[in-house]
Amino acid sequence: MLAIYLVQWLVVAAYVVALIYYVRFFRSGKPVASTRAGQLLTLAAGLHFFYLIHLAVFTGHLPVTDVFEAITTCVWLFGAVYLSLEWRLRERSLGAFILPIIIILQTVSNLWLDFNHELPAILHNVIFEIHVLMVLLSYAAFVISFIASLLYLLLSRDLERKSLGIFYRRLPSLAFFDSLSNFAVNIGLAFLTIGVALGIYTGIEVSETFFDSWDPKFLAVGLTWLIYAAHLFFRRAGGWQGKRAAVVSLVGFGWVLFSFLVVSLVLSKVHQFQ
Amino acid sequence: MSILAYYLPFDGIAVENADCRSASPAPPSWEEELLALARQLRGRLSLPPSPEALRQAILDFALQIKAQAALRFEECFLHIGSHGLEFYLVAATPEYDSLNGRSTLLSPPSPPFVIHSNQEAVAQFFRSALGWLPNHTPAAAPVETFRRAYALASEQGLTGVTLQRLFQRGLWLYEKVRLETDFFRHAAAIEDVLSEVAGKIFGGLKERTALVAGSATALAPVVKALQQADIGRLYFALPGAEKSADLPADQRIVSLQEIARLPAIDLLIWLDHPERPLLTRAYLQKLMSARHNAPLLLADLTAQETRPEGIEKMYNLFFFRRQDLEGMVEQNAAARQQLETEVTAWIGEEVKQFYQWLTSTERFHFGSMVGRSRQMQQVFELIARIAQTDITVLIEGESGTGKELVARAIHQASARAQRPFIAVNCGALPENLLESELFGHARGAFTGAVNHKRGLIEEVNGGTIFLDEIGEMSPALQVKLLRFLQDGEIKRVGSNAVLQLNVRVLAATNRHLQMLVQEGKFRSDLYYRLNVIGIQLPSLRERPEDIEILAWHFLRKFAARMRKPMAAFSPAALQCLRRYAWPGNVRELENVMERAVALTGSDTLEVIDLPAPLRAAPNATPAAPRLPLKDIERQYILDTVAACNGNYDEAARVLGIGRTTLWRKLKSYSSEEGENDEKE
Repeated sequence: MLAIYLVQWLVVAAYVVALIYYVRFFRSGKPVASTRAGQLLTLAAGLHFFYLIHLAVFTGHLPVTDVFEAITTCVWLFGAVYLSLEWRLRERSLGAFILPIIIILQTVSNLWLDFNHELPAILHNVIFEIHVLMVLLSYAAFVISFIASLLYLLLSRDLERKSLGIFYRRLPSLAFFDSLSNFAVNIGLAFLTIGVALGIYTGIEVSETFFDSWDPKFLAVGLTWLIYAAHLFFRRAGGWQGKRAAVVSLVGFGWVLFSFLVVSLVLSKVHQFQ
Repeated sequence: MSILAYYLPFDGIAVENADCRSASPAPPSWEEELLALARQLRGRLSLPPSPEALRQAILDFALQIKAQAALRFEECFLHIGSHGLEFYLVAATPEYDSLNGRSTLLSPPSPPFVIHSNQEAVAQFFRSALGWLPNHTPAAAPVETFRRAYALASEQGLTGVTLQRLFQRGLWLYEKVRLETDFFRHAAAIEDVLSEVAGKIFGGLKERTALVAGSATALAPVVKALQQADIGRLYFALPGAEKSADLPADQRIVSLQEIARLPAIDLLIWLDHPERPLLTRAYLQKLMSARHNAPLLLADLTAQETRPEGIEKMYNLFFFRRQDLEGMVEQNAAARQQLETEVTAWIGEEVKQFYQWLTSTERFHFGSMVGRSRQMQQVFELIARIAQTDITVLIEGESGTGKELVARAIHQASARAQRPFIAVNCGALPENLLESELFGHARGAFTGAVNHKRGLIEEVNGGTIFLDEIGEMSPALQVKLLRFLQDGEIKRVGSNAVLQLNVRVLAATNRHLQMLVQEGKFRSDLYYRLNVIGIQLPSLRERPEDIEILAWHFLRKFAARMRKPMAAFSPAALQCLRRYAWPGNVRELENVMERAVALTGSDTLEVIDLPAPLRAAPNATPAAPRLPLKDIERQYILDTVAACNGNYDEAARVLGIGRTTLWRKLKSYSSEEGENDEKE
């Protein structure tokens, strides 16, 4: 019991150390510092994975059954997705912006995660677990898109002001962030679609009357899907690549955060399964 | 040793066409040659010079310098960059020092020349490696011309240990500055800022198309900057559409009206132009909608303040005026100023370290100890460190590795340098004779000892005695030697008088002395008394990187002695030398070179001049001792860097690792060395 508390805070500590290196790299631009930062983040993600396994063994189910379990899994997925991108694109300037989100969410999860909450019988279901995983993966992709869009706007602000600020010096290029954000939204939307489809399927399995009352969570996810689908559509058809797409991505992520935390905790009745 | 740098900035030289090189009545001095060369090159450099032309120019001149000055200079190196022409000389002859670093050999510099000596010359060298010379902002890849020039000089055998060290430190410094600061990332011309901005918008420019519109006269810098940024395609719109001589050959020239039909253009650059007919809101809107709002960079490099109405509000259109770019250049200059002090401090540190290295090698740089390999450099450092003490040293190494040279070097570098040095081969004399040779004998000590005789140890009092092949010494003599080593006392054979002497003992062996100790053939107490400091000399096949430099050394030595105008090795001959296993080590190499220089008929040493065993040397080398993977990696990486002539990009490519990984590893090696130094 004590061990698992220790591990969950060690994970946060490891992310903080990695963040320090990423920030240092971003400020100095020394490639040498960046290698070390990447190694530290890999280490932290490894530790986090160990924590998730520990949690799964301890509770006897995948850590996706309540919102705080879902957060920590989701955070690990951000980390893993980001690391794979970093490795693929050889670009480490995003780390300094992604890690604060990871650290905040992981801390939230650590503080309120209840190891002994009772699990409704209906949730002992593989399809349900895949459903949650898919939705979480899509959220991880949306975070990447959010960060990319944010950096797009910061860089484009420097360019508009014709000032050689730190973003101008350190960030790669507008085209890079635009295509990264686009790529992440595509992936996220695909996962979200699969996740929602599986959710509907599980809902029908669980009870015939599941969709009789309107679940706020269901509405929230529907809206999320619509926002990102619109993002995709206008980018293709309306010539919205660049700044407008970035703003839509920011809005989408704001909504995701809102629905993830507020709707799940405060508004939802049906999705709490109580 | 003195180092001189002649710097000829192109700023001060008028361009001259090649045909203006009129026949002067007297053969021109090397200085006039250099000036003429600079004039020609200046003309060629206004456009990117072809590497072949540069190569030929450098080669011609370097060979001429060598022919004129071969006997006076040890090393020389000519570098032609975009900023000017530099000529470095390393001279060992003391006459330079006596004149406060000013040379009598070369006539004093006339106005366009800038001459630096010693520390200043070294600093100039490092600045040149960084492409950072007075009034010239650092170029993006200055080190390329530098590297090429050095490769040529070393191919011709014009460089030696000193320049090599300088060159390597220069590249190291360049890599450090490039990877650890933004020094090379502060563009200083508006054209460079423009291509940087394009990079910030589009990423790589390989897939992008640029259109440069305006008068032909102002094209060159923009075109150069875009080409350096690796632009995909270039279009030109010139008034009158005449073909200009300043343009690269395969140009697409379009008329102003056609521009409207070219939606594929990503960069639209407007140069100084009497009218700007198309820079209107309506036209730009049409262009943007044809591009489906894909980003467009529009740069207006005319000096006009006005801008098309409403242009700020157009989506995905990035508009830069000349003033904007100039403002960015100013911001860059301010940022660079801070870095310049930092880099200047690094250069100063590098110069200081270089001079430390130079003086530490100078102290034993006599006779013919040559070696650039890490093993030999370590031996040199050890010698420098222990020479001042009176510690007994045991030198171990195969036959021909230069054990006596090490002993002499220790003696020369010690406080006893002015006192005598005697070398005794213990294996060459029978036991009794050796005893009386070393310790002397009293009158009547044995048959034939008609007079008393002073031994060599007594003779050398105050100096150094070198006992070669100490493993051959008989047990009885070993006892006597041990007593001398412990108390500093000897007795002549057949005499009871004790003599107190002050002699430093250096010993050497080509046999494995510890094994003899284990077999009981050598006294262990004597072994430990001798082996206070042990120097293991590597065999030549353990340090193949020294073969070439030694071969050059002996070639010069014997060519001078036999008065032959030897200039070079044929590549095949060098290959043979490198491949051979050298069982006789440096001595064998020396003999081979002496024979080859004596036999050869031409001024280039060919394979045919080498003895038969070398020509047929098998590729196989004897099995090397097994090493930890880490050491092998380190050695392999350092070798690869050396083989790539210090080209870190190339080395990283060959090794298949990232440039930063390579840099990190090299940095850790150099800091390890630092730690080892502190421990010792």
